[in-house]
Amino acid sequence: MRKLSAIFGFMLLSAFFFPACEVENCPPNALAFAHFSFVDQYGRAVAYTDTLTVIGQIDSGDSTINDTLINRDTEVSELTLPLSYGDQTRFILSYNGRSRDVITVSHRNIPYFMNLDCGTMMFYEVTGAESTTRMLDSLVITNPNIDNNEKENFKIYFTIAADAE
Amino acid sequence: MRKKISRYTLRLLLTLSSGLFCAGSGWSQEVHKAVPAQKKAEMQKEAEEYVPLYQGLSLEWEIAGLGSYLLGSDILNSEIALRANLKNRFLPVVEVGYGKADAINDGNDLHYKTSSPYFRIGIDYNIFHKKTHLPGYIYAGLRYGMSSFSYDVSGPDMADPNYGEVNVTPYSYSGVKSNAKWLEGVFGLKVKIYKGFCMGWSVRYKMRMSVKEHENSVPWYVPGFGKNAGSSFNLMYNLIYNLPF
Repeated sequence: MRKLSAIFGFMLLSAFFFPACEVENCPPNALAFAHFSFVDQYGRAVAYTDTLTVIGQIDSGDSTINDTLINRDTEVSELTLPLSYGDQTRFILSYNGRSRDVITVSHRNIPYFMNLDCGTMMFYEVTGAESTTRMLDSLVITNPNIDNNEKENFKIYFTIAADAE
Repeated sequence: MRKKISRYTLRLLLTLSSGLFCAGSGWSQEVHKAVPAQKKAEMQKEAEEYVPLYQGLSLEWEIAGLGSYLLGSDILNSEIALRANLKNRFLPVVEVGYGKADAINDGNDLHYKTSSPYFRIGIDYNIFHKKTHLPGYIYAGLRYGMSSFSYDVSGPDMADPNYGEVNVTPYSYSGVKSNAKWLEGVFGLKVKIYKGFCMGWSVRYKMRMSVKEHENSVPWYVPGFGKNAGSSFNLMYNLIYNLPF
């Protein structure tokens, strides 16, 4: 009983100093990226073995803003690329400096608040995507919702010759 | 020192509670007549076995949330509860409260504001229902809580970090409607203090069942539940009055 009264006294003090206890859950990644996977004509994952450079590009008024997102990377089988806060973002894929494709992604921007301590972040809904087909074969939207869940959003198809497999 | 404090607390509780079983909650003092010991034991046993269904109503006011707010918290949470005592064992309860949050994070200038009533319904079980000689009881129970509310959330303009910050998006949403439902497990104590007045503590583990999210935000604070997370833990302190009917 003596212990019980001590516990009750402690609880009384605790009730004032710690009326509530919750855990803040900030996501580990506060940025949302578009995820592209490279696949062959059969849908199997492939890697581009030569050097690949990716430049992000947006139009702002009369000017164009370029940002090198990937610089001469090799063995690339997937891309994780940031979209802009405008309504369209272009990605220029330069294959070893010899050939290049342009992917244009149209998107709706969704400002998002998760937590007072975690800040805001920008999510996206892809409304359209098109590409040139110099090296790549086609582009498919697999998941139009781009958030911080790191799911695949696009498949980029390449036609691989049988002797190259 | 701890022994002295606990001894003093116990003495205080016992002193204050002695003779206070006449608080209109089923306990009453009676004039005892001289009866044979065996008959007396039988009468006592019968009295213990038979407990009328209705044992009274009590009104409770939770003040820990108010105390926390007065000490500088951004969150105000206070509630009243109406509790019935059935057979001194089952304690159905209805709780109505008001939750308010007006918080700014100085680090990122985000501002979240909401205020709304909330409701809970549930039942407790008096674990000490056989120990009627004690000046109070310990209980455990469940609650189902719900709240329908709207909130404002705003922050600094969002500048594009990847493409030269040329595109800037404002972030401000007002009157965003939401609702939430949750379950609570309760463990608490009630002690008589003076006449019909009691006090008590309860520990609550809350489990979120659902919360309506908006495309541009998720509620940060849910009135009655607390900060929006899968679960939360609360300590509550109640002032209680046993109604005289």
